Amino acid sequence: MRSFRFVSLLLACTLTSATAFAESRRLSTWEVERIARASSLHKILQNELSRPLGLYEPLSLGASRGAEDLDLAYEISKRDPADGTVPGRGKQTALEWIALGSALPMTWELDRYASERALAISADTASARSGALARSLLCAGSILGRAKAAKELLGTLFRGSISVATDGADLLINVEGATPKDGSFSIFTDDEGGTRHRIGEESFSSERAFRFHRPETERIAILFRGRDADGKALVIGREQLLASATAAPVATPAPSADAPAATK
Amino acid sequence: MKLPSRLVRIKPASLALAQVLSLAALASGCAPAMANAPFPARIDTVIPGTLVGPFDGRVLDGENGKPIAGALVYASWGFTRVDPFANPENGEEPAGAYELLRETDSDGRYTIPKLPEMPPWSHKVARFTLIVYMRGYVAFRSDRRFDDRLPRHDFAQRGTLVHLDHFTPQQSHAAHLAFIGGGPPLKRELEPERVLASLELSGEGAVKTAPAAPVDTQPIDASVLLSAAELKAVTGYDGELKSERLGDLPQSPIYDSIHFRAVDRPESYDAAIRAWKISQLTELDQRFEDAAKEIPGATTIVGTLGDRAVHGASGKILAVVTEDRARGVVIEIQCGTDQCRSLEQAVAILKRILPRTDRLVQTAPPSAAPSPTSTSPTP
Repeated sequence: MRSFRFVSLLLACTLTSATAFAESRRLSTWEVERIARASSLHKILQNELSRPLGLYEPLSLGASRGAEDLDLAYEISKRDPADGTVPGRGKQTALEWIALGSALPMTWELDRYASERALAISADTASARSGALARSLLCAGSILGRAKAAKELLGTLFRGSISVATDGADLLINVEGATPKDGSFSIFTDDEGGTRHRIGEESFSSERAFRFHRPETERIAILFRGRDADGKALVIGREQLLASATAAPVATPAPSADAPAATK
Repeated sequence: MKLPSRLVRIKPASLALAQVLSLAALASGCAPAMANAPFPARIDTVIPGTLVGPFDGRVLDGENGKPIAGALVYASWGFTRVDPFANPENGEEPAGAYELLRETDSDGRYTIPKLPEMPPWSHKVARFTLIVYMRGYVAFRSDRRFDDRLPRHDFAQRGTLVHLDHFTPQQSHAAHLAFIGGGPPLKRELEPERVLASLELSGEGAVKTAPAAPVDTQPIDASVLLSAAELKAVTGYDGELKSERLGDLPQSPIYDSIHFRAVDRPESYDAAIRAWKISQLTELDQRFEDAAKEIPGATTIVGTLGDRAVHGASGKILAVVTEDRARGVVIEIQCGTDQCRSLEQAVAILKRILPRTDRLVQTAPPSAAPSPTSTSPTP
């Protein structure tokens, strides 16, 4: 009887340990970095989010968000910087934010990622947008680090793109590379002081593109926020330079995030 | 409740042992624990080294064995804290680090002092990492190798000879950056590497997968554009400049580069010129736009520099790129602010260079022919 108890106890401990190991298993920062580099994220950051250096664009967290940032700063302060994921004064490259997100014990989820990604387009100041982009990448890293199929998941996180075409004095805006079930478009422009303002909004329709009268500005930002057919959050942003009013604007649809990786 | 007497009785011998252990703890000053060093005290011994240091060694060119002065030497001590609740896997969780950055002297020697600030007694010195970086070379990490990422076994606490190999065009800047790692003091010095890694991921440095240049075309030679003596004459720099090619992309029929490396000086004294000669105007325009896009904070220069030009800056590096459609060239200059003291100096250098681009050998057929970018490495 005594030996039976011992075996039962041993078995229970073994099973508990195995479960704990499976739950705590994370991808290394190196694996997450490698997956990010092999993805199309670099070009999305360059071509759609106006970050010329792509994954190597320095992004700052910007203004503190109080207690949440205290926790983040505390966790970062514990890390050994030799691994390359400790920011200097809250600033490091997009790729390093992803890698850091995969290494931190915080477990950010998809909804948080989506709200930060939306804020990276809609926030009123450039520093707030940079901070939100950095935080969205932290969240992406956190999600990737815990994922079983991180490569596929990264494609899902950054799926879809916004296309902009012209029709006379109007812009025709649509979603490509993803099939939204519902959602809405918002259009933003920056004033002379650099503050971003929303100048238009319309619900998504699968029947037709969003038609918007072309504003007299050099640059617009477009945000789509909604859900896909599976009910998962879908956020797509695009910063678009507009050619002068007399010339046809650049309207090449951006490559899809689901497209095969273009990197070597 | 009264405890049974046999449980509270302490034997005299046990009491003495406890006293000895207490005294030992006091004598140690409650020093933090320390993990075993994974490296020996010296390269010629098996006696283990110590994580707290001090460390010293010498950094040498892997090809010619000459000392490398001004190489960055980054040291980091990682601490852990025993907390089985926070981290059930091994009972230890990260608990901060101490880092510092040094440079090698004129003889290539580095010295890292003993860990200047010990962590609290409840912590453990768990790790020491040394990283050596010099632009144009493959970096060195004390814990692993670049080529295969396997653990390194030729690092010792004292007397390490760090042989740095030249970074070749076949190697990946993106993989190199991921390998280097390091904390903010080191990362600040890696800005040029990041630009090159970005270019590489954009497909502009895909030298490993691009087909080789046709044998019947000759590469252009950027060395005809500017000499070190002329650069010094323009900027007034009185130190020694070593001319070499940038390690980013290979010389090809459409691309070449010159890197004026200031000897024994940081890279803020360096200057580099990248030249593209492309006969197809649409591709030339695209090349300019791509180059301009890579310049942080790119601003248009209004004036007489080529057909169009932009400038920008990142940290201590100025950059100007210009397109001259008549000559079929895009020229970019990156110049440290200790070499080019102003934007005007960088622009003056470009103005001096542009007429000389006619001397660049251009062997591609006239513009009606297929673009050379389709058959040669695309910078």
